[in-house]
Amino acid sequence: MDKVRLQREAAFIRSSLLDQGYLDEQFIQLEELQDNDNPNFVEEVVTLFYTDSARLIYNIDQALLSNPTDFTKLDDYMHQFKGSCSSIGAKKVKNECNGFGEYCEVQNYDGCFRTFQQIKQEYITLKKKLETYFQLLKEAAQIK
Amino acid sequence: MILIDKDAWDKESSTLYSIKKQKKNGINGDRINFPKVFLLATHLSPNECDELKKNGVIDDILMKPFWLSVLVCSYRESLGIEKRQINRKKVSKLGNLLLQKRILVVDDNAVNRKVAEGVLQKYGATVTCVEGGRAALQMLKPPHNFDACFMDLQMPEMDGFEVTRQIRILENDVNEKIACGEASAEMFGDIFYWHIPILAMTADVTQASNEECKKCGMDGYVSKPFEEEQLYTAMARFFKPSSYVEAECLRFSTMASLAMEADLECNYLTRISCLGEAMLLRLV
Repeated sequence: MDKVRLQREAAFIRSSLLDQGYLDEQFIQLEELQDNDNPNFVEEVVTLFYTDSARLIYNIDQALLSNPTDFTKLDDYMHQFKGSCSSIGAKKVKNECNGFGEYCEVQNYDGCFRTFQQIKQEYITLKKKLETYFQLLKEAAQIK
Repeated sequence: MILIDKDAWDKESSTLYSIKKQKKNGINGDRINFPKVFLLATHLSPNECDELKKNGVIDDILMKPFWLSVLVCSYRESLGIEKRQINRKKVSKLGNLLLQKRILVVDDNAVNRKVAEGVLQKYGATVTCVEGGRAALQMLKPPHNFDACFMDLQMPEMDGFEVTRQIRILENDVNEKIACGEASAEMFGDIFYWHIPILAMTADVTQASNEECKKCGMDGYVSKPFEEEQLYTAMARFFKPSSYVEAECLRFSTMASLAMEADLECNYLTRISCLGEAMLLRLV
């Protein structure tokens, strides 16, 4: 596939992620940090985000399975996860996390559980789109 | 654009006359394409400003001394371009403030560490990242070479408040020893008084956090992720400005105090403070 077309597709994904509120200004800040000294900065940060998130999501899932529910632990994990989301500009996912926090505070297990399924959905959607985005950029870079 | 000094404006001259005439005629015709006329003054009340702008010849009044950014803003406004933040390269706002400063970032979250490091490095700082309190204490026990520390508040083993408290204890210990002669400053890198600026990094900026920050010995806080302006404001307190900057600041504060003495209205002072801010941004 031709270079320009790949780049255009990538740009389209990026625009729609920003327009639909999956990503915010912070992601653009990360892009601005990328330069010749740091050519893959954004992808590196995002990859780190996936690894970190996978761990936290696993931990939260486990914590939701344990009985009795340790809401403090849940809140801690979620705080971490929310922080990571914030750092990369994952706006939509981050906002879902707020709801989770509120349920934690009032120790509402069902609320936490339901919200977390929602969070996981949004996270997976974002991850898939970002993976496609970087894949396209990589393919485009390899041409010519 | 045409820049006219107020003193020149007050004197009658043929050049001035023709500018005024053409501008007035221009107004009836094509407003946009006529050169913008800016009056430069040092001391005008808001009423005087309004009076002068009334006849439509003067597009805006700029207070002397002014800086390029002020001129640019006023010019854009006069063209009817909406006030939008000119998104310059990251480097310009913080200027050289963080250049070659050695900064320690303490955060248990890997993503946050990487992003904080990226941002600070872009401003020219040399960044070291550690995961938690224990490592931070090792790094910040005097003597060390760090110029500042950004500290995450919510960390699992030891939170940011506790780490800071312990750092201050270490520093006080050393400071007392030096003060009473038990130890020499030479043993501690020729520094007589140790107090590293520690800024809390927090996603949740609440009043309670601020009180607690101060109590445990922190010097301030910044939001996470970093915001350029806030970062600048926080860091400018610690990093010594050059003597040129100090001179300009003195000039600016003299202007401000003159204005206050003359008991001028609020919005004039606001103008001065905006001007001052533009000056400072320009200077650093």
